[in-house]
Amino acid sequence: MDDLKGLLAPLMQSGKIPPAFLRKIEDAQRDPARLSAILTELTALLGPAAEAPLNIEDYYREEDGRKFELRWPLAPANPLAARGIPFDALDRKTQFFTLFAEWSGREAEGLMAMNDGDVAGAQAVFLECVERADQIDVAELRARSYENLARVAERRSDQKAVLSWLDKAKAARAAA
Amino acid sequence: MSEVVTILFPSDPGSERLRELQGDLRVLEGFAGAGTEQTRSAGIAELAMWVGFAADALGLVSAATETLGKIAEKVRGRGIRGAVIELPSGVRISIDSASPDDIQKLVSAWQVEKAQWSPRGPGGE
Amino acid sequence: MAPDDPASIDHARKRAMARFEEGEIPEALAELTRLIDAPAADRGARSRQALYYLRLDRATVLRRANRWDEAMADLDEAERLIDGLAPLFQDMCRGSVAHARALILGDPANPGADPTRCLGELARIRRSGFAVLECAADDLESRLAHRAGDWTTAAALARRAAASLDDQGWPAAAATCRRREAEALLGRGDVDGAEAALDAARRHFDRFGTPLDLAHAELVRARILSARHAHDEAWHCTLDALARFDHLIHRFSVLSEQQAFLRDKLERYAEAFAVALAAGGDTGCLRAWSVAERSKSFYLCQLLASGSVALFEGVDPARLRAFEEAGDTLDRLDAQLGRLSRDDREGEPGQQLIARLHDASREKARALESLMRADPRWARVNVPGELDVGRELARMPGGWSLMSYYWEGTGGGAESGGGREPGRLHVFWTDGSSRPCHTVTEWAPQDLELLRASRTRLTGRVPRGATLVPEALGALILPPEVCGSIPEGSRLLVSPHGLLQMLPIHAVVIDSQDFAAGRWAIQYLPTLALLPLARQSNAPDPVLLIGCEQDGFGDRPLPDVPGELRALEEVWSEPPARPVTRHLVPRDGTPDAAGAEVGRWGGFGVLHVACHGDLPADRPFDASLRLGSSSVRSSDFFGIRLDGAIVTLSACSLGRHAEGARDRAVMADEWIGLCLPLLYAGARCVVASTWEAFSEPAARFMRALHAALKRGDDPADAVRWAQDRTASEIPFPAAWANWYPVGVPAGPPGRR
Repeated sequence: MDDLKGLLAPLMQSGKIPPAFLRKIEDAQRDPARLSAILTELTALLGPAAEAPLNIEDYYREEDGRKFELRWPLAPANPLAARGIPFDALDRKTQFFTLFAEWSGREAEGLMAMNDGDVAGAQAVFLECVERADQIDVAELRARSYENLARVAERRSDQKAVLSWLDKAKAARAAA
Repeated sequence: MSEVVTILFPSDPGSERLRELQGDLRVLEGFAGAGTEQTRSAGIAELAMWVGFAADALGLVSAATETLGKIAEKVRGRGIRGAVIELPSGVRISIDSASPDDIQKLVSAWQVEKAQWSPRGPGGE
Repeated sequence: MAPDDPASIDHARKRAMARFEEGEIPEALAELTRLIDAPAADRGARSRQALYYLRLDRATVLRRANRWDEAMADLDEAERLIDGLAPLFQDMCRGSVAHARALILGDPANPGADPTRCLGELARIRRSGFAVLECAADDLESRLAHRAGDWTTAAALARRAAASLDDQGWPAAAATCRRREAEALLGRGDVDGAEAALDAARRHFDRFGTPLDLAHAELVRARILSARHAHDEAWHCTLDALARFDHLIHRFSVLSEQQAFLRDKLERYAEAFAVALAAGGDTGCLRAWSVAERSKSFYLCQLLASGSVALFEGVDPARLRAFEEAGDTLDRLDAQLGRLSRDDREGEPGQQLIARLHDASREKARALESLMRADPRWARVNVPGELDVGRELARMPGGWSLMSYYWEGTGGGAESGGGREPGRLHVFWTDGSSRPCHTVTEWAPQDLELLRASRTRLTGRVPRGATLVPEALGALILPPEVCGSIPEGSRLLVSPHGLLQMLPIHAVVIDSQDFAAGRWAIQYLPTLALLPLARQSNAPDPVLLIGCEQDGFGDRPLPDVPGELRALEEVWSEPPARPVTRHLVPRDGTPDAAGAEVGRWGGFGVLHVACHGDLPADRPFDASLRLGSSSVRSSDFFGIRLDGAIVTLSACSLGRHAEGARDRAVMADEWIGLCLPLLYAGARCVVASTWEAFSEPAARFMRALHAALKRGDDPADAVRWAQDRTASEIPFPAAWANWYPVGVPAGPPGRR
């Protein structure tokens, strides 16, 4: 599912998913076998343009070993939520991996909202993504959050905001 | 002087020949003056001679046709080739090749235009 | 991210497009071009994708700047890249390209517009199945219906597109469709519906609108208010809208780019004109008059508003050298062309030389544009302030009446005047009591044909006995109410428009008996918007008389020139004498070698040049005065300062202005020729001819003109005197009516 979300994100950012394909994905939400088939089809359709999913391991840093706080409820589909495992009980690295995946999920939700026409809703989600990225201090996620905010501003033709968000994205990556 | 036509020469015929031609033209009915003319335009500019006529000398198509025919004769008589007569409307009559009928048609068209453009106006007075 | 990483390129592209939406079109174009031309780190799929978006976006920018062919070329390139993109994206991308093409092919401002092909592209868009492209097709069809005057269809399609775009989360695009819906409803007379649609659009624009969005919306609001007879409020909105449009227009520091951008913007001024006039009475007259004048000569106004920037001061010497060398190349090629025989000139050798001339001209133009772009003072151009004709009337020096023309509907340019349709010409003027007046003359298609024929005739060689302006047009150009209310002997400052440009209004016959020049001293000005921009002038005393009897370009000798210069020297040497410098430049000489280089011309208060003149119709900034073996060209005057000098050009056709430049038709009302740089340089008045000047009558005219100037006559009066003197000796208008004084009238001390 994470792989699918990773592939879908750039598509949804572009707004270029053919309507028929989008319906296929929606229909297959709860069927892992069908999702897997779609993933294969999507990979083929994207071809060399497919972005490799981010490798969370590359972004983890032990630092002072302090654990993270769960500031937002976990997504219902998160296995931890399903198994009832408390977040505090996890080690720092697992917490990091969980929060990273939660960011990906929220990003996908924001993109879905934008494509559904809920521009204000999408903006709120992406602003939350900035905070989530700040919490785990991952520059790449921060930058992507800003880029999504720039996309929202583009739809509104708010050029000053577009420039401002893009500058922040560039600064975020430069500071990494 | 009420009307003026211009003879355009493809190359310089020489001042002597131009003077002689000017003399030839004096005998034309209604002749009111002539002179060489040059513009300050860059490039290959044509040498020209304007020929003026008194009021009504070119008023009738027949009279104008006859006069222009005589001008053509005189130009040819001086051995000048390739020249044209330019009417005030800008229409040009080839001296070497235009027949009397051709001249008459062009003159008629000019008169029609003159009636439309300048029926009573002050031009030339 | 490396600078050439596709993500970096995407950032940079979006930044460029954000600047584009803010109205920084030249800057956005430069940045997109830089990104397109930069070598890519790899040629993989993601780079191709980045390049596809760059081409598509640059096509959008070029289209907004009305550079159609270049936009289409970018779309062709974008389409070629699609095959290398991910299969999932291809259909959408093809649909996007089809949409962009349809916008270009369906735009009437595009000379290559092709409605049939446009409809073909529309069909492709609708087959794509993407909802957002379906909306784009609705929007485009709405525009086409709008242009055809089918308001109901236009409104319905715009409304449908807006609703769908809102659903899909494209609020900016939806707002634009709502604004179009408002315009269509206005066309239908549904003012309430228009207001509701515009209010919905403004809810977005007021927060996020681009400068162009806001300008356009404000103008629609003005039209709604006008329809409701709230004329004063409508006028305030109109002023706001025009200020915003003006600001966008004046961002272009290069003439050709500005002219291209203006093409479809003049429709807005036409709309503003209607709003202004609707107020009625003197108020409506003055407002409409102000709008009419604001729609003319943007570039010249911008130049003068930028004031004292001498273009060549302090610039990079290498750029200046490139510019000067390009000019030298032009001179050499011109001279070679002049030495060819007539047969060779019309044959292969001539054609090759002409092709090289065009290349050299383009090189020089590029060098000039480079100077303009690079000079930071030039880049920060000032926007001319708002013109209030009422205020300018009050400040006019005594003895002057003003008169302006404005063709209704198409908004200006040589195209205006109706085409195959009737035309309405608005005539504004001040009467003997300086009251503003207004009338409209109705032009039938045959009248416009006559006008066009007249203009065509007054180009190049004009036969000595020619009738210049058909008498039948007299009452249309100078209606009886105008003639009856301007006292004889007045000075008349005329701002022509469209097809009336370069027409000798002073040679129009009034009442079938008099020429206009017999009643008034007539001077011309590209636009009254120059009045508040004119600089204070303290013209120096010295007089420069420079000419050439035989130049080095193979032109015929001008035996009248030496005598002309001597005669003028005598005039100016009479007490109270003014210092006179006289130069007769020999065939192999140059003004520089004669000690009269153009850079020193600012030291003279009267400049007289007698020589051959050349104004290539398609290269107006190569207009030149041929002095010896060198040419003083139009573009050279951008680099000098003339402090209120009177410039008299005893040469052919140099008062003309082009209607095209370098294969591009000029759409707006700009006087592109020698007058523009001379007025920019600070000349108070330029007296020049608009058709080929007969040499001997030119010498006579100039003797009379300078005699009048010497005794202190205003240039307009001096020209009238000279016209009268010349006409008494050579009674043909082609000989005496060929001289136009162009400039801002001088006022009492402290005013100008």
